[in-house]
Amino acid sequence: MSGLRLTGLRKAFGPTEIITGVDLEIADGELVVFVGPSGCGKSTLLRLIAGLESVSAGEILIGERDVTRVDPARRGVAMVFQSYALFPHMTVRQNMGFGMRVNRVPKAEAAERLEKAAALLQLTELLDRKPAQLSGGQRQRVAIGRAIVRDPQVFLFDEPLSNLDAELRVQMRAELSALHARLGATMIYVTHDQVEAMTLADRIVVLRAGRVEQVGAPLHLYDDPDNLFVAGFLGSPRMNFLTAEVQASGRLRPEGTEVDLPSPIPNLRPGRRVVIGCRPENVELGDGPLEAKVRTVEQLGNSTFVHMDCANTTIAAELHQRWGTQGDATLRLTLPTAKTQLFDAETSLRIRG
Amino acid sequence: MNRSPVALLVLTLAPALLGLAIFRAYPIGLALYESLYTTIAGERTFVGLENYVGLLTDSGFWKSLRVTLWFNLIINPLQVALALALALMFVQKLPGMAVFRLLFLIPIGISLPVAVIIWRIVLLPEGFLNGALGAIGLGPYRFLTSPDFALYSIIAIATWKGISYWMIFLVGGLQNIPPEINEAARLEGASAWQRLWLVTLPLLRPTLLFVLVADITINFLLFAPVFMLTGGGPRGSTNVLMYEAYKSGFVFGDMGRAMAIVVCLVAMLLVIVAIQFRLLSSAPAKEAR
Repeated sequence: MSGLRLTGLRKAFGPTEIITGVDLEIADGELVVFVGPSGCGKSTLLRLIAGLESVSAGEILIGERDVTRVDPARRGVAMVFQSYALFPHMTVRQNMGFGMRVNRVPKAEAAERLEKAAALLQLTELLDRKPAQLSGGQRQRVAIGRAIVRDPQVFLFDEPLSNLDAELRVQMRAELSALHARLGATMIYVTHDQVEAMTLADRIVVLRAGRVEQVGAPLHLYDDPDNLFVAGFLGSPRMNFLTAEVQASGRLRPEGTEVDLPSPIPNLRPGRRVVIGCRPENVELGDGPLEAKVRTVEQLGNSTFVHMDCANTTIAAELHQRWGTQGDATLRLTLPTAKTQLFDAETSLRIRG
Repeated sequence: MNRSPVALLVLTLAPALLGLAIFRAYPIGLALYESLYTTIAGERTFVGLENYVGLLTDSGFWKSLRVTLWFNLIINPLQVALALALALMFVQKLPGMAVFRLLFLIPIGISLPVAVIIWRIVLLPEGFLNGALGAIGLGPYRFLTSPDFALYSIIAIATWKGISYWMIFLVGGLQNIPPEINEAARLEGASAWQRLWLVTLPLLRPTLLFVLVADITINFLLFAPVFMLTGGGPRGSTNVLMYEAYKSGFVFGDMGRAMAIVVCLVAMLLVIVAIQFRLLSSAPAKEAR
C-alpha cells in the first residue's frame, strides 16, 4: 500500500479544460471520497489517476513513484467501475482471475489469491456463474474481487453503488467500509451522493468545475465550510442562505425584511453584502424576529422538514418531532447567532471572525 | 368484428408472409419442381431424379463446384477478416478518421454494375493497374483473361465492393461493447492483442456469426461480376455454379439441369450455414463449463 500525490494536475479535452489544476495528497491507507455535482470533473480526475486518460499537465505520484506517463496496468491501481465492467462471457472465476491470466501468474498462486478474495467477499459459491446470473450486489462484489486479487497499491471506485437500489446501496456501503478497515488499503471513491461521501470517507474532496473547493474530514467540512458551495453541497436539505446587508449598527438586515439580526462576527464594514448560512436542524420555530409562511411540510416519521418562504427566499427547518401545521400558516423563526455562518456575497468565501 | 388474436396475428403478418411466399417459397418450390423435368425438342417431360443423377457424372458440374468452393474458401475469410480489421480501425478515435470513414463507405454507394465496369477498365491489359505496375517494371498482366488471375480478380472486386458493407455491421457490434469493459481489461494488464482475442472477439461473436452467414450466402450465389467480366472463363476458371446454372438454363436451354444445380447449391448452403450456427453459437456454452 502507498499514498498518492497529485501536483498541478490539469486535463483539457480540446479547448475545454476539465481539470484546472488539482493539488492533493492522500495518505497511505486513507479512504478519500471525491464528491461534486455532475460535470465537476471527479470521474475525469479518477481516470487520470488510473491512466485511462492522459494528463495535460502536472504529476501523479503513487508512493514515491512518478506514474504520470506509466501504462495503466503498471501503476499499481485497480478500478471498480459504475457499470461493474465485468466480462459477460466469462465466469466469476475467470473474471476475477483475468488479470493474473494475462500477466501469467503461476496457476497455484493465482488459485490461492482467487480463493482468498472470493472467501473475503462471500463469492465462493458463485465462482462458476456468469455475470448475467448474478444480482446487482453480487456483480458489484465480483468487480471488487477482481480489484482485490490484483493486490493494488490504490483502489479506485467510480460511483460503484449508483446502479444499486436504495436498500442494497446502504448495505454495500457498510460492506465497503468494513472492507476498507480490513484491507487497510488506500482507496479513492468517486460519488455525487453526499450521504455516501459523509459515511465512507476519512476525508472528503469537494470538487467544482475541475477545481478542489475544500478538503477535510466529513464533519469538519459540514461544520466549517470554506465557501458557499461546500456549505450548500453537504447536508440535506441544504444549508439555508439569506442575503443580508451590514447595517451601521453592525447588525445584519436580510433582504426583503425590516428586521436586524445580530451578527456572529463583530466589526463588519457597514454596507457590505453578506450571506447568512444556517443549517435546517439549527432553525428554531415558534418565536423570533423573522416571519415565515409555511409552504410544505414533509413528515418523515422521526423528523419533519418544514419549508417556508422567508426574506425573499425559502428556508427549511428540520424538527425532531411531529409537526401539525399545514401549508399557508404564518409563523416566526430564529436563526441562532452562534449557529450561523457568514459568507461574502461577492466572493462566496466564508467570513471568519 | 372478429377479435380473436389469431386473426389479428394472421392479418398483421400477412404482408410479410405473402412476400415470403411469392419471392422465396414459390421460386424454391418451382426450382424443385422444374428440376424433375427436362425439355426435349420443345416438349417438357417428367424425368424424376434424372437431372440430379446426370450431375453426378457431369465433369462440367464437378469442375464448377470446385471453382465455387475454392472461391468461397478464399473470399469469405478474406472479407470477414478485412471487414473486422476496418471496423476495428473505424471505431478508433484517431485524427483523420473522418476521411477514412468516408473513403470506405464509398464502395457501398456505387452500384455493382458501375463498379464492375470501372474495375474492368482498371484491370484491362492497357488499363490503369497495368500502367502503374509497368512504371515499376512489372507486367503487363492479363488480370481478366488469364486462368491464373481471373478468379482472384473477381475475388478482389467482390471484396472491394463487399467489405465496407460488412464493416458497418461489425462497427455496430463493436460499438455495442461498453468501453469500460475494454478499459477494465487494459487496467488488468491485457495487451491490445489480448484484449482483441479475450474480450472483443468473444463479445462480437453474435455479430460475426451473422456477417459470416450472410457473407457466405451472398458469395455462394455471386453472379453479376462473373457475368459481366469473364463469362465463366477463361477455361472455366471463374465458372461458379450460379453461372453454370445460368448458362445451362438460358444459353443451352436445359432448364431442368439448371434447376437441379440451383437446388444443389441451396442445399449445400443450408448445410454450411447450419454447421456455422452450431460452431459459433455453441462455443460460449462450452466456455461456461
